[in-house]
Amino acid sequence: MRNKYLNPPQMIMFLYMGILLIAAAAVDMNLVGLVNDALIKWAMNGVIVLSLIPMINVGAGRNFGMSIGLSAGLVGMIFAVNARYTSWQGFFTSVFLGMAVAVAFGFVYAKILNQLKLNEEIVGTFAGYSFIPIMNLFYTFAPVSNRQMLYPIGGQGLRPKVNLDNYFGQVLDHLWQIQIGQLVIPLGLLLFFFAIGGGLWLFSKTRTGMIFSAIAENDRFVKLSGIRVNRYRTIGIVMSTVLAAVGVVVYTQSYGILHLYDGPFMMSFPAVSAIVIGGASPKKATVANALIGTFLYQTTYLLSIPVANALLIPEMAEILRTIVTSGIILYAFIFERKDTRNEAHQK
Amino acid sequence: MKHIKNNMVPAVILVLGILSFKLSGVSGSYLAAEVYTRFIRNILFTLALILPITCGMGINFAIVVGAISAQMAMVLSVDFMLEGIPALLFVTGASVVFSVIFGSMVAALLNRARGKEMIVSIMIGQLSSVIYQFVFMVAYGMLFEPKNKEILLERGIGVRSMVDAKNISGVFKSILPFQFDGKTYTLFPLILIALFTLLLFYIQKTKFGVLARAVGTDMAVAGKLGIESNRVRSICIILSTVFAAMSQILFVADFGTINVYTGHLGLDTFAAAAILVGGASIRKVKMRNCFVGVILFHALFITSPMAGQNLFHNPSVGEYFRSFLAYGVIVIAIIMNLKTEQAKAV
Repeated sequence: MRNKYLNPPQMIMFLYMGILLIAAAAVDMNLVGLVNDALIKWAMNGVIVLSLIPMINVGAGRNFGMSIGLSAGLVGMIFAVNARYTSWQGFFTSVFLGMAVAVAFGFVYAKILNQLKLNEEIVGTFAGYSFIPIMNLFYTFAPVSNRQMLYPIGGQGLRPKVNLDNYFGQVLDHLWQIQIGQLVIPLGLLLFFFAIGGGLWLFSKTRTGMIFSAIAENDRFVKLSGIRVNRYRTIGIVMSTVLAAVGVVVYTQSYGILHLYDGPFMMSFPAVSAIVIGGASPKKATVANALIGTFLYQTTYLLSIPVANALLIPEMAEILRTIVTSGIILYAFIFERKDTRNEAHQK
Repeated sequence: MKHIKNNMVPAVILVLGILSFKLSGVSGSYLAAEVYTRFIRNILFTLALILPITCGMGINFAIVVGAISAQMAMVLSVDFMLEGIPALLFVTGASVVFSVIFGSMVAALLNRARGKEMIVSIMIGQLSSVIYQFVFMVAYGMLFEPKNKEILLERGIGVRSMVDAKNISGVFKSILPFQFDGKTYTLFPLILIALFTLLLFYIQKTKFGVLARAVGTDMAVAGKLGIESNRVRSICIILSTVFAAMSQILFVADFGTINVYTGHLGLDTFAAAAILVGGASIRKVKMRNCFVGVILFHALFITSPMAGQNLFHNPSVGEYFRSFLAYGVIVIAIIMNLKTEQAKAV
């Protein structure tokens, strides 16, 4: 589906960004600092957005149950911090252990979703929600010995927020930074982000990737041609879960604070909204969609913070962001389905 | 035996509730009082879900919109400095008007999203709740001036997060009070709930109720019979929104203060969980499911943190358990419903 023109969400976002830029210019904002922040935010949230791609392409819907994958990443990080691994050792332990846990979680998640074709999104939402209290139980009873992660009183149960400064906070952000005047380009972080994106792009060119898009287009036909649809759906769902785990590690190292308990509760909505802004349809998402969408979404949020502060209503940035998030997702549900139906008629 | 098999979910929750009650060690009268309070606060939200389920739209998570309508009316009543009976009449009237307007907007959106009503209603709930927050946090005091300056924050923009609702709660508390376990409760909400229950019962028996059931059973056939399914669905959603608004008034009148920014959050999940705990599915519901569900769900909800405290020396265990229950029962309901539908199709 090639569209020469911008789709309505992109137009709205560009317009909104223009208004914010004018407002930001009016409040005398440091533009170079803004670009620096925008680059970091882009890559930091980008991997989570990329994680949506396999599930959309295999026709399993937008992954509203992302908190399952995110929790796997959190488990990896808990292990790394508990073992007091610092710097790269901590980061890569978190990534690989998170991926391993995510494979297990992903299989269970895929088992549930494979029974519920066409209803993945609503079930995913609540499966994700109900997974959070299960993980909270784990956080409460996890056998952790590092005092910095435990509640100061009682010695049982992880703290909701663990500071990563002494472990692997910003380790990827600070890799191969290029400084041009005031401008700082976090080359390592961006390369990591692009590498995952490139991997997904290459994957879409493989045989499996082709079968994915065939399933999304018409799963009955694919089934008749002798391909085990559920197997490929499982692969797609596990891939999404694993990438979400990697994504949350990248996000957390940049954020600097390991946010447990209700941290991943609402993280799927901004990601879904970002990929919709990027132009993804319910059954087809490309890496470019994720890159453009994340950039637009995060940069507008970044711009709105100083504007809101200048108006002396700091809560406004968050409110505007949530309006954008839910408005865009609502748009996607209500209008895009119409578009795809029309396409089917035109063929 | 067959009876238990058909009512698996309520039976399991009943057993869990009794276990949790034993473990928590609270007295029966404490539990009764707490359940009574939660019953009058939540039952109408649960009843509001009936009509959308009947006409085949699944669980209407957009009842949040109804609660928002009522909150708006209540904040306005405090702003206009109304007191006593006039305040109550104003709040009721205004929230009906708001909820009909907003409800028809919700209905228009949901009619465009056939087959995905549930997730779309969640998104509508989220969007309307942030727009509402935006109006009261930013526009109030900036775009229009309130009469009653006391409801504003000190900076002059935005309503305080807690507004005293004694103008309507006073009226409620003064009618038919009774003493139980050392505290004063009132019977007035119970009378209102009975009235609304009868109203809903009557609606289901009218021609409209039959049409709604026909649309819910098979929309294509209903369309061939000349039923305007979109219109029926719209009316169901509007009525559901009005019920939710009335429920929010009961909630705040009992609670005493309006939590302007958070009072309407989360109630959709609890209402959905309660109705499913009561034995409803996302396609089939009876009114008794609501009553059984609210009592069972809230009894478990009240006792589980204390049970967790006694069992694991950690109150949060019970809290996690109950939020897992609230979300998990929705997942299970959807899975079971699809299984029965697939079995029918084969």
